Amino acid sequence: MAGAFLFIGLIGLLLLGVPIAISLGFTSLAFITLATEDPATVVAQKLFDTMEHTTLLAIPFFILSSHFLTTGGVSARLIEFAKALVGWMRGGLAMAAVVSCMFFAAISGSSPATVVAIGSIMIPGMVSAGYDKSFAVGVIATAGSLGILIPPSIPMIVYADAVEESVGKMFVAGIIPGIFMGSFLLLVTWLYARKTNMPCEPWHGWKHLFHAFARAFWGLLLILIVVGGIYGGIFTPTEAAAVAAVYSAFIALFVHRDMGFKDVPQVMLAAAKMTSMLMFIIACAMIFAHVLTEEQLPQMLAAKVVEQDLSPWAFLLMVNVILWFAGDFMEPSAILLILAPLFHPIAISLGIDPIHLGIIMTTNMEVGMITPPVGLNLYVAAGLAGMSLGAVTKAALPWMIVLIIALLIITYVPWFSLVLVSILY
Amino acid sequence: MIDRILVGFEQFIITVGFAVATLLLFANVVARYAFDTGFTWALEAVQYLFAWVVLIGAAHGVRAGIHLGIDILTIRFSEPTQRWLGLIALAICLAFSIPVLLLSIEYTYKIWQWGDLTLDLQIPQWIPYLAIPVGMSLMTMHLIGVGIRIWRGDQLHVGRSEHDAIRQDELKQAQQQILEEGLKEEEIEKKLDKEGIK
Repeated sequence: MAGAFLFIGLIGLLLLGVPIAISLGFTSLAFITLATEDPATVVAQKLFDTMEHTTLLAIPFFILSSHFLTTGGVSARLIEFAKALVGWMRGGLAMAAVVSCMFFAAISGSSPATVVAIGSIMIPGMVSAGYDKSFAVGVIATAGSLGILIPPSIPMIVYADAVEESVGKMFVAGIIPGIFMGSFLLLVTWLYARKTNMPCEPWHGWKHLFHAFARAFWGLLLILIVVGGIYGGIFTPTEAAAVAAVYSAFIALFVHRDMGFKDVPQVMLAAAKMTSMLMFIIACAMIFAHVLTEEQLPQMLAAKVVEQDLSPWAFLLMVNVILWFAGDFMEPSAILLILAPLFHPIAISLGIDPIHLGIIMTTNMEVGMITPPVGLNLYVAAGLAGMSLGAVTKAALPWMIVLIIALLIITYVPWFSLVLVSILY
Repeated sequence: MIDRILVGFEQFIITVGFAVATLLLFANVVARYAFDTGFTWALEAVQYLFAWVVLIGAAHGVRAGIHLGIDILTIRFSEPTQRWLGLIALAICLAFSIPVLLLSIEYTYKIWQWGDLTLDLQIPQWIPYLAIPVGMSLMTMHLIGVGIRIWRGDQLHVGRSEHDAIRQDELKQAQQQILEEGLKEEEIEKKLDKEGIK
């Protein structure tokens, strides 16, 4: 009952156009004051406590790192490398766009950032090479969503924090599903390109490929630093993120020299704004999650589901459907903070590995990124291509089906998520 | 005038705070491996810096219009209705920021009275906690400012829709980048040609 009140209130405020963070905060504050005896100061305290979650502090640094990578010209070099690598195949630029998105996803943790970094160069490039505009936009919006599945990933950090799993394990678990998802998109692109006879780029030879690799090397090295550093126990995920941020700034300023010191404050400010916006949503979602836990909602829900004698198969389907709807209204981090503690105990009692659940939730958030009405990637891609949101949505629709097929495979074949974890840990 | 000073102050705090936190954590890693020492207080300092950055940044975000909201329903109404809805949404934001401001003053005052020091840094605990009342009072001020703008008809929403939020900052950057990168690509090609000739 109490839970119903909370969620109805929340959805009402969201639809009214109240910012997501304040919708979460206000609903929780109203509930604590009206329906419980707890002192309301807990709201103020929780706002502050969020910053004491060391794992969550990795998020700002990954955001900063992305900003430096995009401004510092690393994304442009990754694209050149991807073009040299797969550009000669049928539909070459589209294939290269997907590969570039995979590379950038592996050094940044956010989907919209990936769409901006790759799409701002690739969408105009594809259109001028004679590709259909809506196809170009659909490919970029979809492949950009890989940003959160291929580690490092902001939603994975949030999930790990919410259910107290290891961030390192989540990152390792995301590698194979990420590569699988990327390859799946490549396959679909290639088949479609062959069917519609799309253009391909000339093959420039091995020397060109090697040159392109050498130029992209400093950016690619970041993958090794982040995942290798965390897995090798050299630093914590939060430290890895800070190292990634300093490293990105260093290559932007001293190696590639695409930006100067005068640009640094601008980049810092943009990253700080983005960070505040996201962390404020997370802080308010923490208050909301705190209220849910105080009300024993996760336990009650778990008991109900266990009573229903739901099979793991049906439970996972339910999880996906709920997440998919939630993804239409909210920001992935907030969804994970609120829903992960609800699903986690049920999954454990049904014998589902919590790491696998985390990968399912992250993959689902990916689909949400290109699902109307609130798919963030669609908005970004629409802005980049100068197309209407309706047109972009239409362009992304077939891709959404592709992503859903991949999501179902990842959901029902736990091997993808768990094999690397079981080997390495 | 006051507005400009406030914005400058906020931007200064969040930019410098972010930079210091990044360098501090990085220096800590370097110190641990290169010099075999670390400073235990680094992490705590980073946490407190971010409390300030995020709370001041969230307030600044109200002014800069970066808070994500949903407009799928509201944009279907006529403009005057949208303004009314905007004012209602704004009232709800104030109904959050003002109570939290009061609560946080109460909370920070209590901490000040207890007089505890923080665990690692050994500074009075109320200093980091002051971020909440400061952030919330800035947020309340900016919310009132936005309210006036909606009332006058200069603006329709409290936050921005997801659409505008991204378009504003990132797209400008991105577009500029396309131009710059186009130029740079030519330069790189030229460079490569030269190297090839050599």
